[in-house]
Parts: sequence; C-alpha cells; structure tokens
Amino acid sequence: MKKHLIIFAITALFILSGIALAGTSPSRATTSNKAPGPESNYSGKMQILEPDFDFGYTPMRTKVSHIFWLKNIGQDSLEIINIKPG
Amino acid sequence: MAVGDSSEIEIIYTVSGRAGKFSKAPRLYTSDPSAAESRVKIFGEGVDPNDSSKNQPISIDPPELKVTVGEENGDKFKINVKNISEDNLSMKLVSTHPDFIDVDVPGKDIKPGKSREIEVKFENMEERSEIGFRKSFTIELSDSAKSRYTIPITYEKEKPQVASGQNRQIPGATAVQSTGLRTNNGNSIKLIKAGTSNDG
Repeated sequence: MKKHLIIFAITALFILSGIALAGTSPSRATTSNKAPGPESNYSGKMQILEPDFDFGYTPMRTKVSHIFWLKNIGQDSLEIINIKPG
Repeated sequence: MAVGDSSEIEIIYTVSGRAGKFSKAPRLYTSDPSAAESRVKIFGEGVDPNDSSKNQPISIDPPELKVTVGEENGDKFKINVKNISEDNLSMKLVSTHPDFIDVDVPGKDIKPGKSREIEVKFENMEERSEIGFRKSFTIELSDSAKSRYTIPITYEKEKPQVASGQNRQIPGATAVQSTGLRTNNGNSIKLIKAGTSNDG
C-alpha cells in the first residue's frame, strides 16, 4: 500500500510538472535574420532626385520624355504602389 | 525597392498642336508612411519651329530627329544649332536616355551667327530595330534665362497606322512608365496612359 502511494505521488508529480511546463508561453526567438515584419517600426522612405523638370522649348505635336530617379533612403523595403498622370 | 536601391520612372508627354506652356504633375503612390503620395512635375512650352517671332537665342535644325529603321547603320545623326543671339553661348546636356541614344554636345562656345552640331548616335540597336522608340534629349544654354530645348527623336519601322479609337495620340496626355531597377532585373510598373487632360 505504501509502495503504491509512493508510485502515485511520483506519477502525480511528473504530471503536474508537465502541465506546468505546457502552460508557459513559448519563448520568442531572440534573434532573427529576417527583415522586420509589418508591425516593425522600420519603413521605406522615398527620395525623389530632382522632382521637377523643365523641358524648355519643345516642338508641337511631338513626344518628349524624361527619367526621374527614385531612391529608397529608409530602413526597409519600399514599394511603388501606383502612378497616376497629373 | 530594397534599402539603398534606386529605380527610374520615365514620364512621356505628348505636346499638343497648339503653342503654349504646359505643366503636369504625375502622382506617385508608395509604401512610405511619411509620403504615401508624392508628385513629380514636368513643364515646358510647345513652340512652332517655323515661327521665328519668338525671341529665342538659337535655332535648331532639324527641331525633331526622325529616323526610319534601316537608316541608322551605326551612323551619327547631326543636329545643327545656330546662335542667333548677340552673345557667345555654350550648351550642356541635362536629360537623355543613355540606353537608347548617345548624345554628344559640343563643348566649345558658339559665337553669334555661328553654328555647331550636336551628334546623336543610337545605342543597342539590335534590341530596338524591331519595335523602334520615341525618346528625347534636353539641352540647356548658358544665356541669362538658362533656356532649354528638347529635341524629340523618333525611330520607327514604319509609319504608325491609326485605327479608329485606337492608338490615337492624345495631345496633352501623360504616359507614365517605370523601368524598375537600373540593373534591369525585369521589374516594371504598369504603363498608364492618360485618356484626357488638355492644357492647350
């Protein structure tokens, strides 16, 4: 009888220990090599190099073109979502 | 775009058939929380090259370079710039498309009444000869007004066929396209063509 009680106590102890460990929240990875997620404070920042351009005198009924340069000077990737004519 | 990377956006504008100033400000929408909407601005003045009433410091001949596929043959095309002002003038290149054209602007001053030539050579022709292109370059003079001139370049295989309601050149329309990263990794933003907007 005494022997059974001891076995029961040890078993109960193990079960309780297991429950106690399962109840704790999983630890987060302390380090990550991934880029910060959407909830991160980091963000892309766009810089437009020379945002204004003067074509000057242009012949009528022609097509003219100019290249604008954009640079990401932020701390995360930058997405160009859309472009609309003025 | 990754941190530190750059991307280019090409703005194409169709100058109307009426002389006068124009101004457009295409809008850019990005994931930048501090500037979700930004603008670039283009402006200029459409002129009739045959109208000599404008008090301009130079005359350009031809005012527009038109080349048909097969004519290039690796040759350089020349654009004559004549100084019709009373002061010495120099010019510099302020905008071009180096992937398409190589523009050589004379470094020496142009004396009053004298002319110099701008040389234009086409680049990467093996990639262009099937579809052609329409680009332009812009020069800036050393006069007090820092006058600028844009010379359009049309390189095409054949005259464009204009079907009803299709491919119609809309004066004042602004087409915007992006060619992605400078390294040309294939990324590009959709080409958007404006269907309206007239500003003379």
